[in-house]
This record gives sequence, C-alpha cells and structure tokens, in this order.
Amino acid sequence: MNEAPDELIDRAAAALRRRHAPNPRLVSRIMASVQSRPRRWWRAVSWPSAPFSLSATATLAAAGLLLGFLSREATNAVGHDQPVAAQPGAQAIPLIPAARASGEAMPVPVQFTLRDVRASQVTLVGDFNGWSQTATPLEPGTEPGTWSVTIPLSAGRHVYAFFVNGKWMTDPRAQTAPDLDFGRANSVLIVQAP
Amino acid sequence: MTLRRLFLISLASGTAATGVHAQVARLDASADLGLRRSVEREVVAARAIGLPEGLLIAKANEGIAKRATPKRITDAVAALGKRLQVARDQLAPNPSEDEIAAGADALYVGVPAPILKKMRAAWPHRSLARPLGVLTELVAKGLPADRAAQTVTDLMKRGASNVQLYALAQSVQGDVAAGWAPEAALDLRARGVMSLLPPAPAASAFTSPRRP
Repeated sequence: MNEAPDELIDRAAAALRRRHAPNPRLVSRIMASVQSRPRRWWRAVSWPSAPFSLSATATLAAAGLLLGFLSREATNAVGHDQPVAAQPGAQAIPLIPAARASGEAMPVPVQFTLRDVRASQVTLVGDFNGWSQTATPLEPGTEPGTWSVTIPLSAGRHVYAFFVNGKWMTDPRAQTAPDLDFGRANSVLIVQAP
Repeated sequence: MTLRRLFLISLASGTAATGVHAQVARLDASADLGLRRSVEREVVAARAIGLPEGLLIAKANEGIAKRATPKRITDAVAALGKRLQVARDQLAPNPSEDEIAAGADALYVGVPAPILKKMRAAWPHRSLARPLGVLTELVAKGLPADRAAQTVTDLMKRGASNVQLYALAQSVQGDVAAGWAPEAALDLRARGVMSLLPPAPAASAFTSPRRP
C-alpha cells in the first residue's frame, strides 16, 4: 500500500485551514431567527394554513398519485382476478370477489350470450326459472345479432335453452344433455362455487 | 263435530287448495284446460305426500316450451313425481328439497336407486345435492353409473370438496367433448383431484383384512 501523503488531500486540508472565521453578528442573527420560530405543537395546528414549500407540495402530490394508483390496482385485483372462461356460451363471471363469497350458498352471476342475426326476440328458459318463456329475456347488444343476460345462479348442474323467435334452441357453444321426456335436448351448465 | 272444528277444517282445506292453485297459476299461459287439470291432479298428489310440487310445474312448462303434446307432458310430470318419491325415500330420513331434486335427476339419467341410499348412509349429515349433481353429469356423459358413483364416493371419502367435484365433472365434460373415452377421462381427472387431497388414513388393525 502507498504510505506517501496524497497531494490532493494536502491541498484540501490547507484550503480548509484558510477558511474565514464566521461572522459573529451573522451567527447571532441566525440563532435569534431559529429561536423565534413557533413551537412544534403550534406548527402542527397551523399546518393547513401554512404556505407549502415546493418540495413538500411535490412530495404530497407524488404520495397522492401513488395512493391512487395502489387503490386502483387493489380494486382491479378484487374485481377481475379470475379469468373469464372462454369456451361455453354461458360463462360464470367473477362479479363477486372470492374473498367475500361465503361458500356455495352464494349465487354466482352467470352471463348467457347468443349470436343469431335472425333473432328478433330471445329469452332464456331453464331449471333455474321454472322453464318460464317470459321470465328471463335477453337484451340485444350493440353488435347486431348479439344477445346477453346475466343472472345469479346457485352452484351446481343446470339445464337450459334459448327461446329464439318463439322456437326452442340449445346453446350452440355449450354441451347438451338428451331429454328422454320430450325429445329435445337441453344445454348443460355446471356452475362452480366461487 | 263442533262448528269451530268445521271452520278449522274448511280453513285448512281452503289454504291447501289456494296453495295448489298458486302453483298451477305458474303454469305457462298457453296450457289448455285439460293439461292444466291433469297437472293440477299431479300437484295435489305430490303435495299430499310432501313432495316439492314446484318441480312438477317446471317440468310441465319445459314440455310446453318444447311443444310436446299434453299427454306427453302429463306422462312426464307423473314420471317426475314418481322419481321424486323414490329419491325422497332413498335419501331418507330428512332430505332437503335440493337433495330430492338432485336425486330425481340422478335417477332420470339411469343411476340405480340403491346408490342414492348408499350415499346417504355414508354421509347422513352432509348435503348430497351437489355430489349427486356431479354424479348425474358423469352418467349423462356416458359413464356407467356404478363406476361414476364409486369415483364420486371415493373422492368424498378422501375429503374432496364440492368445488373439486365440480372441477372433475367439468374436466370430464370437456374431455369427452374433445373425443376422449368417458372412462379414460374420469380415471385421469379423478387421479388429478386425488393428488390434491391429503393421503388416506392408514387402515387400523381392526379394519385390516384378516389372513385366513
């Protein structure tokens, strides 16, 4: 290791030794100013009306932005943490956060969709609405020929069908179950508890 | 018979009649008078033995929606009434309405009645509505009822939740739709659920098979 004194350090030390002694009047003015500042409790009380420094304002703004971002992410995580199944026409959609679901008794919102450009009136019939042809109409979507309705269903196996322009129609995107009683198959949906 | 007793009897019968009429009022408006009367008879009979008569109206409405003939609808309603009765008896002593309906569905797809009784005996205090729904779906997908019931029962014994049973039914449903043989799909998916469950408790000396 090199034991020789560093030239740069020597020059810095010499410059520091040459510094001027502080002005006593300046020192006393600064100290008087510091001692005259309000006490902590008064600063806390008068905080809302006190003028903010630029750095404090920026810090508060940054904190607000961060808080907003975090709360938005948290909200999104609660509402959309489960991906929507893509396969069947009737899909369970995660409107109820899993954390708030209290088991299988809680109904699960299920969206039924149909695409049929010839349809002018569509209703949903199934074991969940007593096979009523009028109880659950589908609403037309913005895209021509698209229809949907969302209803709460209990967990379990359900059979259903659409009633399109007054005629029976199974869900083209769902599995079917044969009907031994009447001969026309039903669509099958298995709703899982959240 | 006192006047008071007569009043009470007439009140009770009036209330029962009102209940039946309220149920039959839910029948689709397009049902003709003959169908309405025959369904009403079935509803009265179901009510007399404590069966959930609302399911009979729903079955009639299903037939009306499918444009079935009144005779076919009446036959289907009567057959459902019998299935509900069998399910209620097999799932005794105190089956819920959901359990009776699920049991009737299972019978409808071909599950033998004694299987319902065995499942009730194994789980007297657990609702069988969801497991029976899974069993129904498996049998409807082409699995032999005995095999499907054995798998569901095994999974329940290992502590499978209803959610896991649903997942099994959904997976098998998808596999069969993709062209798999139902038995192969059930075997594979059941193994998948089993792997998530805690190991089965070791058989005690009492239950171990004795050597001859």
